[in-house]
Amino acid sequence: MFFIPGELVSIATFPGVIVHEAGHFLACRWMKLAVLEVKFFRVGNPAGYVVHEQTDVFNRAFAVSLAPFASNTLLCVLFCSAAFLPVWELEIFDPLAYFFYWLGLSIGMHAFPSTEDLSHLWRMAPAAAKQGNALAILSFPLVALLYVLNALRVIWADLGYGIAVGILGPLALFRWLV
Amino acid sequence: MRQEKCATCGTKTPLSSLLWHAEAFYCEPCAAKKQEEAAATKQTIEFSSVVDPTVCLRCGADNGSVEYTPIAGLPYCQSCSEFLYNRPLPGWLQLSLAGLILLLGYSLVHGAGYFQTGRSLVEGERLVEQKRYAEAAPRLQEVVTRAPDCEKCILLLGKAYFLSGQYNEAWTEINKHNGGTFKDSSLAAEVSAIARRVDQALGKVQEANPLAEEEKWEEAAAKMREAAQLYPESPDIAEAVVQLEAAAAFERKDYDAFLRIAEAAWAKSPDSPRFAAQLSSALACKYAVTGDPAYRARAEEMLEKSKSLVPPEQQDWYDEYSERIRHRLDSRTIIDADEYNRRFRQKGATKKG
Repeated sequence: MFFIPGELVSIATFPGVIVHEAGHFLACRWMKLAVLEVKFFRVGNPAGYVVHEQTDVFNRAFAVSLAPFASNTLLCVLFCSAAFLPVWELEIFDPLAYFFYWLGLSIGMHAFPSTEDLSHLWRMAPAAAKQGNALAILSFPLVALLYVLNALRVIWADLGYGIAVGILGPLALFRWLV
Repeated sequence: MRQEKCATCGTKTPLSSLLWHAEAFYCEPCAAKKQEEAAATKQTIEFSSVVDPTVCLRCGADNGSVEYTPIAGLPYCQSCSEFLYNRPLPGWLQLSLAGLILLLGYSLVHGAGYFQTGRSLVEGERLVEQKRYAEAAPRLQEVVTRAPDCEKCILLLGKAYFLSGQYNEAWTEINKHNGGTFKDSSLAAEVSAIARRVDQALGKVQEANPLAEEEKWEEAAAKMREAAQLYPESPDIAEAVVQLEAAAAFERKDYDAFLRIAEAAWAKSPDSPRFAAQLSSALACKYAVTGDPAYRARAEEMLEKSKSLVPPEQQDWYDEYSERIRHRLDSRTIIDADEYNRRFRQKGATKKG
């Protein structure tokens, strides 16, 4: 196991931090929640944050908490898809393709929601599920999985997720297209 | 704006500038003094800031004695509330996100340039899995031309070439890459095993060739059969086996066997002008021996078939071969090529009739 200061990782993957916070920010706007404070990127811990008004509506909380997970994952798949063939399948040295792969992985490895976001959802989910909210019911396994993955960040689970999404996503997309 | 008295000095101070500790308000100087005293006795005191619900937290607007409607428990004036609910994306972020979208579009266009090559690779791989090697080879050749460092592509191409009988092309492509060295993989091991098998087969072919030159047809055919067993995918070796077996049967005047071999070869390769001509030759032998006109009719039919199949670059071969078959049919005399050449093709000699 090797440790690299979080600040260095954040600097090396800064596009992912910005996209993550922009995801929270835009979801707040979409869900009509006040954004009290926002930092899209900084050298520090956390590397970015959005302080927003809380909501008692589960679906809105779900959207705000998991928007970065969806947006970062999607962008990771798309950028890595653009670079997947020359980098992995055809072994063609194309600097631009490697740049796109770095961009895709940077974004993908910042897909996980923070523990605070997950805790909030976890607290709200039982009540919403009792009222028959399908999203709340579906959120249990997803939030639980993300909790575990978040905890495994110390062993680079976030990078692992980015790599997995950046390889398996494009591979599935390519096989589907061909 | 609300005001409260400092619990220590009694000074009345705006609420938002006071600090809170142990159910009491403190002004900043008194709070600092209490912290110093606590530090002297190695204790710590924690003060928390106080929010005045009548003062906007963002712009400081004073609402007199009326509390603002809180957002997340904090007081904000009407205009700041509107700002927080409609906070605009910073200009740099708008530009960055627009740039990211453009970059994504460009990256996808850039990646699409590799799509056709990737598709040819997948199609080639599928054809190899279906053992349609001759069809796979041109597709994989396209891929290797575009991606000359792709080991998997080269190995698949080598496999397709080897297993469609095109061993020269296989070796050319394989040796172009690091002198034929590849990273360890199951595919590399498989292609290496095929290459060894082909190498052994060609060794047998090398042994068969001088025997054929010495017209030791049986021995040459035996060696060539060993080669064909090692490398059954090679149509050239399979054809050589047939030719040598036919030559051996012809030499021992076993024209039934010659006809049987020629029929089998023609049935297996109905597009081959050589097998058509060979069948014509065997039928001509049978005609020469039996005088049965049915053999002659079919021999002539097969000669015409061969003529229709022969490519321009093999025209000379066809002319030479067909001349001898016609002589056999016309004269009912069976002689081999050497004898025919001795009789009719020596310098100054011309064939009559």
